[in-house]
Amino acid sequence: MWDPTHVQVTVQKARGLLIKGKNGTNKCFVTIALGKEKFQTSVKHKATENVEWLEECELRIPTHGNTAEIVLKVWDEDLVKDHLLGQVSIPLKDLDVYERPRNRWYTLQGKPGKENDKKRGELEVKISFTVKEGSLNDLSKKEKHKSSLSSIAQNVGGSLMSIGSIEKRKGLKKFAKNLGSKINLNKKDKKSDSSSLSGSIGNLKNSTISTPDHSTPKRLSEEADPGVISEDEDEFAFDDLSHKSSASSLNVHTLPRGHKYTPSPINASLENLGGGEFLRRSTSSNLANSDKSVPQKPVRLSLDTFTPPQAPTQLIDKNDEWSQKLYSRPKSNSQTTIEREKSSSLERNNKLDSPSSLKEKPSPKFFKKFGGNNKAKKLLEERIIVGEENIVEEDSINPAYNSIPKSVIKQFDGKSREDLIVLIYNLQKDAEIEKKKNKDLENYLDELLLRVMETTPRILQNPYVRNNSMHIRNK
Amino acid sequence: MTSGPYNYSYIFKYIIIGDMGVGKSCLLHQFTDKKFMADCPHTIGVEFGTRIIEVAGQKIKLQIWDTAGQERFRAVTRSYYRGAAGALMVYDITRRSTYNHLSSWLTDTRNLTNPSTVIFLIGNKSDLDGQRDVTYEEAKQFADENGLMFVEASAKTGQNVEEAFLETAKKIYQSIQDGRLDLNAAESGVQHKPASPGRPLAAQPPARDNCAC
Repeated sequence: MWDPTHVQVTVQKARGLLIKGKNGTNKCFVTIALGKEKFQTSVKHKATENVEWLEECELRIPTHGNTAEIVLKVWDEDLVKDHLLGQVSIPLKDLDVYERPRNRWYTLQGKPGKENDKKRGELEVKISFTVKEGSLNDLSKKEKHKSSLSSIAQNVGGSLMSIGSIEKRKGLKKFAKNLGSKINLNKKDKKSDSSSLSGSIGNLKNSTISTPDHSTPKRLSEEADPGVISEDEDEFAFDDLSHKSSASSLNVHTLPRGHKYTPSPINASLENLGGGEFLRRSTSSNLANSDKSVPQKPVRLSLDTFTPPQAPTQLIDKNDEWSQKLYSRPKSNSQTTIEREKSSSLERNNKLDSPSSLKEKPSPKFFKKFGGNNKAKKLLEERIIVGEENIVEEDSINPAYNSIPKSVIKQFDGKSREDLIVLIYNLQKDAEIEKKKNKDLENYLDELLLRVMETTPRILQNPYVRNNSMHIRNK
Repeated sequence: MTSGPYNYSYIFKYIIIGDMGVGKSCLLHQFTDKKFMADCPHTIGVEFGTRIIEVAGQKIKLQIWDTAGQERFRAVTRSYYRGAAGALMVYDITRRSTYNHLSSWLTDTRNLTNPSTVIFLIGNKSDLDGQRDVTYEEAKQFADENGLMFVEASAKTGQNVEEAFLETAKKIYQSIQDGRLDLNAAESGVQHKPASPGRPLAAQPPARDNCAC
């Protein structure tokens, strides 16, 4: 019997949503949870009751798959507290693993336990089942993988896949995805309520930097690849990352240590995405490290090795190509060969990389986007696309923001979200106090006014007429 | 218009009501000073303007009260409405919301004035016909249904402002003649001057030595 290990959830669109945001629009996003894993779509700003995402994620089916359910929640993002617009739970047991995946509309509901008083609209979702790990290996191997990975999986929230020989590439990609998700997280800097989502840059740094040393117990010395995962490199990589597209920084992790970096036209154009500076810097650090490195099979994931055979397809059908890349569907010939070539060294990288990226993030937020930046898709074949982030940010900027003088904005430089919340909170408190004072004053004045009106209304005449001059001024 | 300060037979108390920004103070100013205040500040307190008019050969002093158009119920609200012989209820023809609130203004007026109070509906800013948001016909129908008098006016150009105030006065005067308005009732909003000395109500003539000092 076919025993899928993962579900792939594609969030297509929503209709008839409640509007809870300001100005009659939402900053709308969807979270997808299954077991301990949780993913999130991009945030659609100025979203009306109909929203389209076309975004996809993949969740590992928990061992208690027969009782697990996919929980989809639609939110309106808010600085202080996101508003739930609606949610739907889809028990896995209700789904037929053999059915051809198709789009379905699910009716959104309120929080469980609450009465469903209002119409919350519907969410269109496609759910398909996939087998991701060990399915092609023999059973014993599969078991082995599972057990050896279990500890990692705990850290990783199940998103780290097998690193067995067949799945290496995927594993690496998974890692990259997770990185991507962290970066996503970082840039959006969204939720602080759940630890898994609280991506401050500091966190990110810690988690990524610390890993090579602490979090990979299985790591053997000969597998160590300091050129690739040196702390320094990581650190500055993520520093840069906070300003730039994460695309290029991800690239760094997959760049082989000691491998001579030869910019290809494609790589060069990657710089246009905003990560160019970093790319160059990381390259030089790679070169600097190369003397330390033990000769080994270079892990080449840079575009110059991978892309050429595939470039045409990419251009023709980006979406499919992209899905293929990320989700390792049946592979094209060229991909498979490449994969075999790289497999052993990739494995090493996986072991190094994966736990590191995931250590502190049990449920990475990641989302792949179909409708986003085409350019990025073309270029970032083997990397995770984050180029879209730039665009999202541009879209998301409140128009009023642009009218704020630069000098004012500068005051908030370097302030964290928490700082800003505290600031706003205090201001709000002050405003409340002022409001109350005003009200008291108004009431007091009204009281006085009342006495005047009832006793000597004459003095309320406008223009004011003095008793003695009244005769002249009164018409 | 010049007339001696004592040459009037009646004082009518008017109030002007309506949403914020509809032009209440501007209408008052246009009527009393024949000027348009372009940058009229928001009215905060309560004040009144006066002007003496003539109806059917009788000099009548209009004492027109004006206050902020805020929705908050204020301590002064009751006092403000009490004893009004005429109420000018104003909306802005370019802002539908101000028209939509008329029914609540009307309810307040009915509740806080006496039955003989003449209510006159004014659609202000008729000079801004291009930005019109409320048709004349619609407002006219509303006025008819509620037994209100109605004109569209412009505090800016002065169009129909005079008419609104004068028509209201005529109607009040008519009521007096018809005996529908009891001059002796404390809250009629009308004072017959010969009978006025020392009257405690708002509608005191600003006259002579009944000064409190």
